[in-house]
Amino acid sequence: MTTVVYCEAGHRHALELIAKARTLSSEVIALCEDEAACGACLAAGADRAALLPLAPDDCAQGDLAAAALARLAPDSVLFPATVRGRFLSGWAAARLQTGLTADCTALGVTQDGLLLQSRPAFGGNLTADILCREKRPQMASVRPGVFPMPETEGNVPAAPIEKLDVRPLRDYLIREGFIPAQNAVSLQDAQVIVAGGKGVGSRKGFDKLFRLAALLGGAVGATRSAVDAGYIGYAHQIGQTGVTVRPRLYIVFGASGAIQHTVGMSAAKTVIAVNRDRLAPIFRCADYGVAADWEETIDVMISELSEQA
Amino acid sequence: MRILCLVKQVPDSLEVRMGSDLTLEREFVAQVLNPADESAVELALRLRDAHGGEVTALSMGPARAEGTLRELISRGVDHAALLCDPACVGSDTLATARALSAAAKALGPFDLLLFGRRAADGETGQVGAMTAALLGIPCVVHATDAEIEGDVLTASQLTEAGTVRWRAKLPAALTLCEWSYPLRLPTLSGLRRAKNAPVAHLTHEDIALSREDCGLRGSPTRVTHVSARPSGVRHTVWFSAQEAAETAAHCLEEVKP
Repeated sequence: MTTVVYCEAGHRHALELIAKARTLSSEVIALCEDEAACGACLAAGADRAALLPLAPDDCAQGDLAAAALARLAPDSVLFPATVRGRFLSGWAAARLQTGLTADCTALGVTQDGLLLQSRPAFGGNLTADILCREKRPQMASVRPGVFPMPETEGNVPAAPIEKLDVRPLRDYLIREGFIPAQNAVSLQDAQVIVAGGKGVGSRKGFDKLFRLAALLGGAVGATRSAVDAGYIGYAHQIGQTGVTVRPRLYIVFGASGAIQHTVGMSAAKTVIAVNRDRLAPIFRCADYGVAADWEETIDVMISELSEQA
Repeated sequence: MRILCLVKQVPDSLEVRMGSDLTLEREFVAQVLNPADESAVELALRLRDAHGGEVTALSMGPARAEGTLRELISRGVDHAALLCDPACVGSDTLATARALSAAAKALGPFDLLLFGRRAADGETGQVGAMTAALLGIPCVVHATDAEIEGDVLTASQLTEAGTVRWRAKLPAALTLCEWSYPLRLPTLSGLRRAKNAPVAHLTHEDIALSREDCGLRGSPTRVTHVSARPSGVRHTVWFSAQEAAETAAHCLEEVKP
């Protein structure tokens, strides 16, 4: 099987997919938006790197991706399931009239050599295995953080970078501006995450989480219901419709433990959960449980850790 | 201005049951409008109120989805149609996008197509982008707000890193995030209208969609197996707040190089 991994400029998550694709395929081609990505993908184990132009217009980029995939004609294609990666994969799949499985959390190969794509649905209550039997390429987007980042060695193999001669069909969108998220956090790279659920109760409540996170040198995450309630921005959302994280330490306050949330944090090394309800499902996913009021607990933790600092 | 809202009826709870053919069984639980679609409908109504024109709501689904469409009429939508065809059962994202793009062509032309960013049940979040790609119109996904001036659409897109502002010439498509525009309540006159307004039931033939492109037949992907998810159960040790702080500090020591 030949697999193409689509690599967005400035994103490292494609490297996780390169490493995974190597275990599934005989040949891994990195399809990159810039030269830096080509080098990183080759170092991570891609056999070849192909460079496609970068359009400032995401729809035009989707056309470019479709044209490049038609040229490379792989058996399968993996996209990182970022907001943009998911958009590009959908646009390209529609252009190529092929199947797409969004937000996969596991990949494999069947006995007859098909890409086995598994994805959660219904708030994570179900996992569905999906095949694309006839149409090619078999396309999937994969949640960032699902597969570990490969350890890359310093010596980059000197494989040539193939520049693809594909051109945008037309203009669709004009990018007018960009406002970076406040408290821009890289949840995926964080070693420590302090997360809050709806039980945190307010924006002010989350301020305490930010204080604890600062003491621990970590980032702040949130469940979907806390984000939906407007306590914190979407960029902080952990779980099935947010990001998947794998920190060393995950401390979570006032979350019930909905599967929608826990699928995003189950790879954490150590989990501490705080919830007044001893029977809350969140404790099933925790190494250490504190059955107490979240705010009293965080106050104690903040004062204990401030003293140590 | 003519606006088309593509909406879906979803189960009110995320408990699920699968049929023997591994398609979802939707009969046993209360059905509601997909939460993200509420934002799409409310934005459509606000744009219509500001600029004039008409809002049409279209859904693909079983006959009972008509209830959701009538509810939207009570909240101010002008027209509603239901693509209700056994041939469309089992559609994956591509087959769904094909059907919706064919319906948009058949009922159109429209200046703006509005979707929820994803359905709460299937959660693929791809249908809006794929429909726009098939129609060849600009599309902004994950939008949190949008304005129209003349024939130019401006929209904010929420991404992991921040908010991107996009501009596009109409016709265009948007997919809206859940918490963007809270849907207005029904009015008395709306409720009255909802009772008697015609809601056309369409089949693939009505929208000039080939039978081969519909439903399971037109779907390149197939669900082959479904399982309840193993949920990473851990053995929990009970702690006091002080112990939690000590453990956190201890973990921190390990993290430090």
